[in-house]
Amino acid sequence: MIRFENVWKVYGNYAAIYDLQLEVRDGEFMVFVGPSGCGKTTTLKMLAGLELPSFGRIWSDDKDITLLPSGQRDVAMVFQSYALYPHMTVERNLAFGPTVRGEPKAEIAERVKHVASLVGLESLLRRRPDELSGGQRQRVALGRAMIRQPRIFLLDEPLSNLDAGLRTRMRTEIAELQRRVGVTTVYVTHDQVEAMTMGHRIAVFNQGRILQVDTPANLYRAPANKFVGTFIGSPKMNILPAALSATGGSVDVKCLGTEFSVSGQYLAGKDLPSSVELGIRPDDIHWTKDAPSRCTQKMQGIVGGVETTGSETFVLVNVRGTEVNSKFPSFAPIRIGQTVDLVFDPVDLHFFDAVTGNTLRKDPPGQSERSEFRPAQPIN
Amino acid sequence: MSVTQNAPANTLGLPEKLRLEARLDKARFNPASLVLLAPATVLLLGLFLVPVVYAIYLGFTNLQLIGLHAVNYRFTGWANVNTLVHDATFYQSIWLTVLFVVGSGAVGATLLGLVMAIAMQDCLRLIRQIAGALAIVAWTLPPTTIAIVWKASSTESGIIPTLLGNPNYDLLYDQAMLIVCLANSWSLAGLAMIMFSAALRNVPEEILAAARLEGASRAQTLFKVTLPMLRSTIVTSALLMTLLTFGNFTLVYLMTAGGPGNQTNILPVYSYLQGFKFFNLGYSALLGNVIVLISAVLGGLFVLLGKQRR
Ligand SMILES: Nc1ncnc2c1ncn2[C@@H]1O[C@H](COP(=O)(O)OP(=O)(O)OP(=O)(O)O)[C@@H](O)[C@H]1O
Ligand SMILES: [Mg+2]
Repeated sequence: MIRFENVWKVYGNYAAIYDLQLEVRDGEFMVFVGPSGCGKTTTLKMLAGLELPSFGRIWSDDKDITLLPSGQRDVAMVFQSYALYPHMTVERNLAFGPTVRGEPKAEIAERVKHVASLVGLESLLRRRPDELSGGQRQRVALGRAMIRQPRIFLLDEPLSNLDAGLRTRMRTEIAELQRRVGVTTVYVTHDQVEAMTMGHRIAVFNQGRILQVDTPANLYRAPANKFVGTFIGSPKMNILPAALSATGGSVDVKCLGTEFSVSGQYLAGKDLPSSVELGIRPDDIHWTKDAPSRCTQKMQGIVGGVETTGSETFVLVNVRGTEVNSKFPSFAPIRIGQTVDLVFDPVDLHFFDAVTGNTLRKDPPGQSERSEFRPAQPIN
Repeated sequence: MSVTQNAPANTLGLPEKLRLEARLDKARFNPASLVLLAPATVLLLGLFLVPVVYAIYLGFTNLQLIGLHAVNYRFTGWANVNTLVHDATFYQSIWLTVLFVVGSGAVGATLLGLVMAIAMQDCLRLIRQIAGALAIVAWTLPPTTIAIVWKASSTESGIIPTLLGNPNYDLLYDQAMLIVCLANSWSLAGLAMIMFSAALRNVPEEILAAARLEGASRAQTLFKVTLPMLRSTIVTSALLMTLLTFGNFTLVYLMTAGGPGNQTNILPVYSYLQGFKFFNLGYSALLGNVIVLISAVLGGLFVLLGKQRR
């Protein structure tokens, strides 16, 4: 288990990490997501021992590793900048670690070959990094980390430069390897699909803070605040202005021309703010002609844009000045400027405090039980 | 794919029409550039090539500083060369020159500078700046000052013999070549250190971090990662130190004047002695030609070394 305890990282008069509290369990695949510059790489580097925290402690089980030199942490890392050795061929880049650790030559050659085929570099072993494309370099970096079995595996956007096909393949490859070997892994990504499919848990960062750590499903269904709600899920969650008024056991909601009431048990806290923001995912707003019957609340607007991915169509509808993104059946006969009716089910709504952005819901939509992470059993 | 389908016999698959055309991505020649280059060419020819050719010519004459052949000198063909190949002092001088130039310049000063730069890499900024400033001062000192400092500290009752426990020991007399070499390395190391400090700062932090994470020791990181990445700087420094050492006639001449015996009689000193002490200007010029040859060979060698990839 790795634990960050009140860790801060301060550069000059700028705090890159605020009071970080985080636990990564043994064998867990932890994913870091967050906008650029929010401190993901900094956190990884502190874990690897390449940056010292300004304050706080980092624990590995019961051992304080805050100041332990990086060479003694048994960490393998894929750097965002690749950090390949420019004067060595791909082969020697891969073999560098095992060589300096004094492993037997024959075994190294064997492993280099294996890893090279894993990341698809067999034909490039004799090239040097400056003779490779960006994606090829990234695969060398990945291979260099995968050549050994460390205690902790740190990957900083390791697939960002690969083409879609290769990315999908490597994604499965990494996740499978991790599940098979059971090595504790921290993985940074900007890719929604990678985050949702690979990780046991996801930590959402913003401006040096962790906003929420949870399983992909919980994060999607029950975002702790507006930032997480809009950050996780693609296309983005719609944020609609609304007014609340409590009447007895229920709460009346006024939003973009529709009025409805939800059960008071839904919402946490006694003093509900009168103005809130409603979050609803495009997948949960339907066209009247293609809606589940539970959808009762209606909105009307004018189509402002249509985006077809092939399997689905997202339509931007202007409802009283607010752009609402909604999911339509693929290739629905929709034209820009047309007036359409949209419906949704209040159960799918997220309520955020308009000021703090925190969620007001007690019971996350559509959720009954919390799924707990169970680490994979290492196979020997 | 379409390229290979239309491919004629040649391997690139270029259409016939293009094969005769000049490639746009290769260097091309524009006659108009000759006009622009002309002034520089004239200057180069007049101020560089003519004197050099003249100096080479002098090497094959019997020109003397004073006396009969001072004015009425003439071309003597291979006479000087004949003297040269039978001149034992010349051979000794070549050996001493190589020792001095390569040993104390290319290797000594470069190594000293490299070690200092690496040692100062992680120390406090203030210390690094002070040491850097001192190194520049050492390098900008005129050779006369360096010669006096080292002569004074290495002869009888100088600081080095005193530190060695025997103030009456004349170290400079006993180990003339060693001391001269040390003085030269000392005076050039600062410059080398500055070059290496700059190069070290250009080695990406993350590459070293990657090596450390992979379990490389400090020595392994230094020898397998840092030094190979400094390769071109090492070669440049070695070349520069070679050239600067070749020019360091003053230092040797002022400290030992080539002696004792001929122990520090490097080629530039020998050439000077032949020309201005023994008045054989023609022979002196021939020795100068040899110096040019040697430095050209050494320079070429370093350039080759630098170009080699692994
Ligand atoms: N050495 C440094 N000195 C000063 N500020 C730094 C330094 N390193 C990082 N920062 C700052 O710390 C913040 C976090 O940086 P970090 O590299 O962790 O971002 P990130 O989350 O990895 O972003 P990205 O997704 O773009 O890689 C940034 O605002 C960055 O400018
Ligand atoms: Mg980063």
